[in-house]
Amino acid sequence: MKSIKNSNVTKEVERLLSSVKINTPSEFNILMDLIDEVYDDPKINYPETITKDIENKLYQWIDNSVNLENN
Amino acid sequence: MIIKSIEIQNFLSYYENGNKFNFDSGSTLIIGQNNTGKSKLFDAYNWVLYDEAYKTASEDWKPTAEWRDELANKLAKKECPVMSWVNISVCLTFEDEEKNHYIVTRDYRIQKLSENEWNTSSFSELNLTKQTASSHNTVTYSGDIASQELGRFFPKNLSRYFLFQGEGISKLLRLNKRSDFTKAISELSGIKYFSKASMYANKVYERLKYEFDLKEDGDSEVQLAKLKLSKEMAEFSDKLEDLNIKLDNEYRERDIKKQKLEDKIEELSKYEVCAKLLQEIRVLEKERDEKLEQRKVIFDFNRSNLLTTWIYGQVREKFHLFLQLYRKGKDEQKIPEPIRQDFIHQMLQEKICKICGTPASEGSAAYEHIAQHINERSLDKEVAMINNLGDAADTMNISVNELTENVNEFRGRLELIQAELSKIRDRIDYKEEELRIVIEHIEEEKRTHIDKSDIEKVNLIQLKKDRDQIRVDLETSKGKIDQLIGRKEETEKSLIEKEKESQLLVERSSNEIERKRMQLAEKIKNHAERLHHDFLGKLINDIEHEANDYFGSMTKSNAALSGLVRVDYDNQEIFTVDEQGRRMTNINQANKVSLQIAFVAAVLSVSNKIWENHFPFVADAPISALGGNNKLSAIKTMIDIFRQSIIILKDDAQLHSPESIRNDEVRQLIQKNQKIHHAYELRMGSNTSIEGQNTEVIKLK
Repeated sequence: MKSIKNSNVTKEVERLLSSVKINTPSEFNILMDLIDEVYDDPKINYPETITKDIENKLYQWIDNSVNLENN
Repeated sequence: MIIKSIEIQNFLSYYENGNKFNFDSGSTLIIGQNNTGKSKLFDAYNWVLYDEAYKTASEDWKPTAEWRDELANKLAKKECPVMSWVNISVCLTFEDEEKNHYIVTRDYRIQKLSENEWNTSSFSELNLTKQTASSHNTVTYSGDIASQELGRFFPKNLSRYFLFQGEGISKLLRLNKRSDFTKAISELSGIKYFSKASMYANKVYERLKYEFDLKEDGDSEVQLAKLKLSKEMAEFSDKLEDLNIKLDNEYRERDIKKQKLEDKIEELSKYEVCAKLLQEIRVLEKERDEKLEQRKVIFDFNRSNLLTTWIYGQVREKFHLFLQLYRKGKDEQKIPEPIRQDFIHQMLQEKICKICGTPASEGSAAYEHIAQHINERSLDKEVAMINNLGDAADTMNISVNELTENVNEFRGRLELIQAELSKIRDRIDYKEEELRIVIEHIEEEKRTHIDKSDIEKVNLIQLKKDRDQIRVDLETSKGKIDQLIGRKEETEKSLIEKEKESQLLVERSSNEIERKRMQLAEKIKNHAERLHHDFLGKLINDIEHEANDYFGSMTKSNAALSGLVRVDYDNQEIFTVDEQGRRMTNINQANKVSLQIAFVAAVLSVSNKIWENHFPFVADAPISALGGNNKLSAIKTMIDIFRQSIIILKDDAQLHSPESIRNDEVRQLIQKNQKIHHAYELRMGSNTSIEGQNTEVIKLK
């Protein structure tokens, strides 16, 4: 199920994460990508279960980010 | 959005079609007495939107699959020929903020196989048609897509707030993990997304930390410390997890006990009301018996007079007529004065008419004329009798007139006693009626038949003991929670210290890639947690702020109500504090209900602001727990608070109780309040008693 993003919420997210965006853009990007994924999470209405695919994606983004930095 | 109408066909108590309610922005009041279809109307909203209706037997919302043919109107079922179908349908129309028009229809068909056998399926059919305001284009969705589209306007997680059931209000104030409130706020402001993001970030962090811990560090000293620290942290984590589980369980226990206490207090108050009413009835019955005795005494005392008056009353007319006729006849000389027989004999002996002085020698005409009167002997007797009777009648009339004066005095006293007796009887009837209603409420709750004699046997002292025991249990539970919170804080503190140690150790690690990955994952985890925390904090703050505004406006006109609303999400409680910030205990029922309504209104208001989409407020018996005076002001507040409110009210005016809303006041409100654009009254149809409920919808405005 694709959830609908609320513009008021998106604005508030950007406000709250503005310092992260400026200081550590890579962290900000990972976080925003994660939130985007969560909006499409088929398990979103089951608060205590997770989708392995999303977990793996996040793992991969972190791994890639560290590898990119090291290279 | 604005709900424009709902039309119900063959659904529960709504027979056939034509049961249509129109709505607009502003308020709609729907009133009805018990069992007229009020809650069935509320069920219709829930069914059309979410495919569920409230099953009293199981005290829960159940889908069509669990209702099946019970969902159909009984009369429609009876009238349906074998092998034909009954179509159950609810159609709701609404407009979104851009004035696009939507028609939601849910249909369910059942086929009659025999008088008691129905062919049913588990699924109802949902259709959603959208008509765009600008182009008038229409598009229809059905099934899951329709349900998904509908969820954008009427999110299920918020449904308990905008489809508000007064009797279940205490559930809405629970703030624990599985509560309606948590569901509602998870729907709001992206909380559920941030909570989930935080969960993923935590999961990946744990995974990377595990990998970091697993890989032997190049620095042996770090490796040793890492192993030791890892073990300690795992212990603290386990302990924390255990404490969280215990705390959750204890919160649940506390909520159960709270509910039990509320129920017990409610039950006790009902039995106390019963006991009070029974006592009042007994006093009134005693007064009634005294009056009956008084009446008997004065009856006995006046018995002979009464009897005479009664008999005289029966013959009075004839008696008077007879006297009248006699006197008239006498006046007109139809009845001659009696001629005494001795006087006639005397005249014949003396041979002279003593009336006119004519000589009457034997054989003369005058003699013969006088002699004729000798035959009038009998008339003499009759006339004498009539005269006697006339005299007797006159005497009797005088005596009876005197008697009547006495009887009138008696009558006056009797009427007075009779009036007092009648008043006492009315009061007994009224109290009996009140008692009947309270017993009915108890019956509804206990789902069993209760007699007046059962009520008389109730042991209030035992009930009070039970209540006090639950109070003690609740306090014990609260004490346990405080203890667990203390232990949790202590463990968290220790864990934070260990985490700091761990961070320092991580800095020294020679496994650079694993270290960096774990550090980045930790940062992402912290950002996600902060995002969730900040949003939640803001949300709770906003709700508290709004709730205070509403609560203030609801309580300002009533000096007995006061306080400030506090929403303590961490401790999962909503309560009021006084001006000094001290928690108010034992708040009265009106304050409690005002707090509840203010809180619900606040949740909806915050939702409206976030989604820029005003939710309608459909409420079934929202103020059932409030007293009479406060009810009307609560209705007015609800009318003012919500852009659209559809308020279903119990019309309990027939109770004549100070706790009921006065029917005339509600009707005046309907007529005079400019924000009430529509009003309906629900009544039981004429064939209700034969075939179950059959709701009649009457338009009042």
